Amino acid sequence: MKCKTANKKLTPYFNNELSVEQNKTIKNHLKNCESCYNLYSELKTTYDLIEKKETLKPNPFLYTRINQQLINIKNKENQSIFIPVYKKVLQTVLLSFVILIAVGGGIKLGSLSRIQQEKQLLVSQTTEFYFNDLGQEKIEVFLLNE
Amino acid sequence: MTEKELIKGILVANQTAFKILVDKYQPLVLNTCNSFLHNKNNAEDITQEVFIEVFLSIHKFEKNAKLSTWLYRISVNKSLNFIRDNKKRNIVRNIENFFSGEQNTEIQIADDNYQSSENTDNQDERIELLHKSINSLSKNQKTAFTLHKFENLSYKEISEVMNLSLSSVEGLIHRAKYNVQKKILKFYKKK
Repeated sequence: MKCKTANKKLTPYFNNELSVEQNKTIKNHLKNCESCYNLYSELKTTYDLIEKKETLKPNPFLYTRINQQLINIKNKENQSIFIPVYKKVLQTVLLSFVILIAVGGGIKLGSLSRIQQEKQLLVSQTTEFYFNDLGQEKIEVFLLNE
Repeated sequence: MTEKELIKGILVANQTAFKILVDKYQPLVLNTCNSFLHNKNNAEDITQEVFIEVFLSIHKFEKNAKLSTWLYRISVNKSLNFIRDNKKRNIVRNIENFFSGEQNTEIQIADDNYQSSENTDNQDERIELLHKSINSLSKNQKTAFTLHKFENLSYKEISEVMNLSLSSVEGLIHRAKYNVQKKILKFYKKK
């Protein structure tokens, strides 16, 4: 048997999945071929280390660490819920306040200028009365009416 | 406290019930995470995350299910996510090192380049080779194989954890075993 063929069957041989005859052939080959035997023993030694499991000791401070992290998560959640609501309320209140001031100021300014205009109109009417009358009515019509 | 009492207690945020659960199931979660990560510190960090998830999503736990199965599932998912994220971080670091001209031996190892180690007579190096061979398996093969070989779970228990049929689990473990052995043989052939 060639080494290449034997190498291909090393895995099924290791897992006891070959027929009795094939098993015998590989076994004989491994007895006579040092390199194939070394390869097989490396596979066996390494793969069998799976049985050597590392068991970790529990950490006595784990619960404290978890608890602290849960508190941090809760605090973050509270902050993240409070901050947007607080910001939104503040933004709305400020915007409403600015709009109210703008509208109120506009109304106030508008009413001031109207009063001024009315006053000016009144003054102009009283001072221009005589001129207008004289200007619009002819002296003859005035005398006839008298 | 029975399993049901523990769950009822955690549902109402009972700290004593949660502490009992952490103490009782810490070895299971910690060792499962370590079987996947092969690193004590990382395993402890993921264990912490597992219990936090348990506390926060206990309402999702089905009453008829087994608590240990649920814990195994969360532990496996968290560990696999950690490995995936770690690979991404390694790729980014590799790219950064490539542009900065630095060499990263860690990544060379992650790429199955076992040639870098000179002496594998040492048992630790054999264990490292074994772990790397297992890590190179597909996600499902790795999960089934690790739970079976390191956690001694039966095929039925694995099928419950992975939500797969018994025959699928059997197939996964069989293929995983062959693939690990092939990797080991390939390494020694190259030597």
